[in-house]
Amino acid sequence: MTMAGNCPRTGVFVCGCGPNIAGQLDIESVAAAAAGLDGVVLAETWGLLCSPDGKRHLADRIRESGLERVVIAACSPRDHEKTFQDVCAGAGLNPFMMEMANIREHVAWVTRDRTEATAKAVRIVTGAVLRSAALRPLEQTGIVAEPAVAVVGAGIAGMAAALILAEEGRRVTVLDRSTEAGGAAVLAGNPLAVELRDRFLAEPGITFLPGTEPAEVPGFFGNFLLRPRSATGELFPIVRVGAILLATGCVRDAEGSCHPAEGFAVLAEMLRVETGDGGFPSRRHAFLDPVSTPVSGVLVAGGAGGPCSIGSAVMSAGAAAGTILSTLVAGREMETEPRTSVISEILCAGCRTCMTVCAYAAVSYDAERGICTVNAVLCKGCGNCAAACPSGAIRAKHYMPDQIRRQVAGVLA
Amino acid sequence: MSPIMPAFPAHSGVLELAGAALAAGAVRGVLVPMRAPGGSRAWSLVTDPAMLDRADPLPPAMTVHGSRALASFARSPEGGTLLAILRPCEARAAVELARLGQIDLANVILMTMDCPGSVPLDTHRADREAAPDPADPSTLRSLCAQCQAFAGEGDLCATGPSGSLHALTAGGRAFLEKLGIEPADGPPPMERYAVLAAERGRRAAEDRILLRSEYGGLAGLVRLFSGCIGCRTCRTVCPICYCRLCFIDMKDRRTPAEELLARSGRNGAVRLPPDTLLFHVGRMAHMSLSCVSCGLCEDACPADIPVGRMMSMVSEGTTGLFGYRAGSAPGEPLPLNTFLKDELHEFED
Repeated sequence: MTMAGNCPRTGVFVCGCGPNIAGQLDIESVAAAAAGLDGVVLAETWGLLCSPDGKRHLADRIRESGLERVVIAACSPRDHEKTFQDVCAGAGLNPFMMEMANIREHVAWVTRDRTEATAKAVRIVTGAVLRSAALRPLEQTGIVAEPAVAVVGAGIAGMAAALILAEEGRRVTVLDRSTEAGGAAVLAGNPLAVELRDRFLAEPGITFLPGTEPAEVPGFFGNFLLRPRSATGELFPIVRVGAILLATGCVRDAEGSCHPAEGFAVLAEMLRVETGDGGFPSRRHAFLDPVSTPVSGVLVAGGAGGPCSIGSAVMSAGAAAGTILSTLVAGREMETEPRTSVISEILCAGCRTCMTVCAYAAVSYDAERGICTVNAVLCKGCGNCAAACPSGAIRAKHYMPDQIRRQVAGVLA
Repeated sequence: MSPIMPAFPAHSGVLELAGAALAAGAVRGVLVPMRAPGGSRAWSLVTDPAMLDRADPLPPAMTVHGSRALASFARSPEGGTLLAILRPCEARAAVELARLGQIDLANVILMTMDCPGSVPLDTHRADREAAPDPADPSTLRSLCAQCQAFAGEGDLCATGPSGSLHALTAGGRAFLEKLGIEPADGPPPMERYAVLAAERGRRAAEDRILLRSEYGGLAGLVRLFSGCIGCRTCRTVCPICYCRLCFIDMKDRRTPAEELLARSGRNGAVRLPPDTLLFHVGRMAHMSLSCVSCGLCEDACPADIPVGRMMSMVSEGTTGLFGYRAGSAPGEPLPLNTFLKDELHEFED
């Protein structure tokens, strides 16, 4: 398969992944097939490319051979895309000039026949090489992390965490649907809870917004844009926070089983936190990290994570506050995604289909111009909008039509 | 005109209602076809009740789709309340365009009358007054002869020989209330059209069997579209096609010369300009869920390709998959934007 145009100097590295790939297909044949493709100046195999030796070798090759594109035939980009991007950057190559061909999950682990697996890997690598020629460099940018924290729920756990955070100098905004702080423990007349409530209300670093809940929370760890809303629907100014602590408690129904507080499901969906057992949020690890949800920067304390005693609620509040203090560091630069979507102002027909498929609230409608626009800081580059746009007005920067077409042509060649 | 759909006293009744609404300030304008110089009709935004004398609410031919005329005005609610007097397929296209974010119906009252169908543009060019006869398919455009949804759409409909006025939505009821008009009781009685609708249903089914046997499969499609002159008129007149630039015309999907040579290499030759079939199949993929079978594309095709009947047939299949009907309830979500975990199992391995 040939393609017109100047072919950049391309290096292809086929990783054996120990026996994971090398045991299932003939990686030497894959490298040999890649060596015959236009622009490929170097095609070789390596035992374990993500090992320190492998990475050093890759960096050396990029420098020695003046590679302009790198194709890594190895595992899923979910595992090591970042690893190899960093190697490229270290060797002076823009990290987005590296393309991964997943011949482990997509081939070695699913295709039994060795000959078929090898042929399939050759097609996938050919597609990756052809696509890589059309890659364009993208610039990594960042924004400074916001050290402020939002706490949802002013019960015992929320108040305890807010106090710890505020005493460490963090600005804390606390929302609660109720017009009073204190939650169940204060209602039950617990004297320690009452004392905690009084300290909470007196703490100058804490802004308490009684009778409010989050209306929307676009953003990510280090940069959430929380908009509080009152029960009557009145919207408050957006609060920028780096982390969000869910301390919404739980309720016991007539049969005696516990559920998250009313409205928790909506809140969880807003934050893209999955819920499992009885509607409670899933956690990074039940024992090792019970206060962190799988979504970076969203934590859980007290009954919001499941029924618990007042003592456990206060302890989990301490753990959550500690996690925030140690991971959300003031002044630290957070990387934003450079592979964002862009909307052509000329082509957009303003149908707003993109807004219905964006999971990151990154697209908004500009009524004055009748078009949609992407907030590049919020966009995670998933490409949903580009695929859904009926007018073809949206382009995913790293998956342009020519890049996709070349990859398809390569796979079918 | 045949006794199936007698000459419509509602014609004058509907215009009277429009005039009264304008005079009472209940609407700022009325969208209706008007007689234009040379005997043609043109969609007009009427603000002076006196001008309604020249209106012709069900003109013999369909030249521009009413939903398209509406979309040029009602992009936002700012224009104020408008009464649009449309054919049923035009009202459905208006609702579909609202779902696609291209029309704002907040301030629009859609009013329909029972549609006798349209004569082909060729007939209309020869005789501006040649009228369609709903009972005689030879006087109708091919898709009108298959149409079973020719009455009872919109917010309001005037139906039957007496032109009884029915409110089909809350908006329609509120509008009549404002004018102090009592709508007819109950839903519009459609039984009177059952025989005609069934006959047309049979005609459509027979025609589709024929189309499938003639043009089924890739080879059949190539034969069907080989006469296409690439004028893209089907796309231009389509009320639903709303993209500002069609996918087929985008610069970044232009086929490179090297690729054309590769395609030529496979069969020894390749047709240029390329992608005739891609254009038509692409249009089916993009539009068939929203097609209201208005027939404009086919009537306008200078190469006499049955593009409308093909699209309508494909549309029957795709909408059937989702239990969807283009232009029915305005609030209903678009099937391609709606993720359901439990659907389309028939396409699983």
